[in-house]
Amino acid sequence: MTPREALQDALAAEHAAVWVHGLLGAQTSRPADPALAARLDEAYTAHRDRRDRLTGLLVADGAEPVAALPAYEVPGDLATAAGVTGAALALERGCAAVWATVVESTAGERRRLAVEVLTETAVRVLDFRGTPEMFPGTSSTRTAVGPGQEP
Amino acid sequence: MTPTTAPLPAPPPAPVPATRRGLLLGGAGLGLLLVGCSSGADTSATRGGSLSPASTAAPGGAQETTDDADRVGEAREALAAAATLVMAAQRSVPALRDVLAPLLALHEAHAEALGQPLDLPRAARRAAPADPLLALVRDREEQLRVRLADLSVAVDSGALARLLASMSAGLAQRLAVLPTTAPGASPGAGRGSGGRGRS
Repeated sequence: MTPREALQDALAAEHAAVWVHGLLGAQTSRPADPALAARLDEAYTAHRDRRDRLTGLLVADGAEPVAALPAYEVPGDLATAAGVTGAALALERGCAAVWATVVESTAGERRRLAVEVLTETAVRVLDFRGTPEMFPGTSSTRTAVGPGQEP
Repeated sequence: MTPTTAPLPAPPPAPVPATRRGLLLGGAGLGLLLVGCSSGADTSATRGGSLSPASTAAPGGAQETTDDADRVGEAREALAAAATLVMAAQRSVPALRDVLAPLLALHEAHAEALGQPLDLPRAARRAAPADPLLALVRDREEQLRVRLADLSVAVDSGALARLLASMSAGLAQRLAVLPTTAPGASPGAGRGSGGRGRS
């Protein structure tokens, strides 16, 4: 995969993340679950900023940034907080995998950006009831479970 | 700490074909399924744990350089130093044993992935105040996290970069849920430094 292809994939994932987090936020009752709503807001903003930054990078490279699609499929029962949280968790884990591929496919400052985003995304996984992993963003399935934590 | 198996990381959401139905479903948010859109990336380099430096490939297919082998050595040394402190803290303050066990397990897994299991000297037991010791561990772990990230940027091999970046991210996750005070040290001690201690 070329660096440009990896960045385009990351942009496609960020488009999807912006859309999905917007949907999840709309499905969440702010009075009933203000903490979840705040985490979704934070995630939405982070993905939106990342999308814009990636778009700028690709334009600067002379590439045509991949466009967002009209809609994306989202898992689970979004009528419940658990369903919303699970969808957000799956989304963040997916984004971590995409950014890990960007790390692998790029070099220099682009790779540094990807390393930073991978770390941010991995930590955000914890906001949505994810548990620490040994190797976030890779296909390794080992999960670290601490005292009192459920896998 | 018990390593367990978790589902594979989910790929990002699949785009719905740009049809009117897709738009309607997306807007309603009912019964939708995240089926994933593959990045198309081959992640096999880090699949299954251990990644031998000699087997890694740089972006564009070049093999890892001697410099990369040196950087793997640096990463191993940094890991061993951090793990030694963690082990010493566990021996010195029994209340930290369980708290730090996941961190030690993480270092062990990372060392194995770099091709050489940790072989740590048995740490001396010394009386030490728990909270400053925990703060020292946290500080050293943060230094290690940054070092792994820097090494990830520095190496030639793309697969090795991915592994090191993933190790750095895994450490960031672990630090996010590490208590800021030792168990029982002060009432109301919160978990984690960034309010991400949900577990």
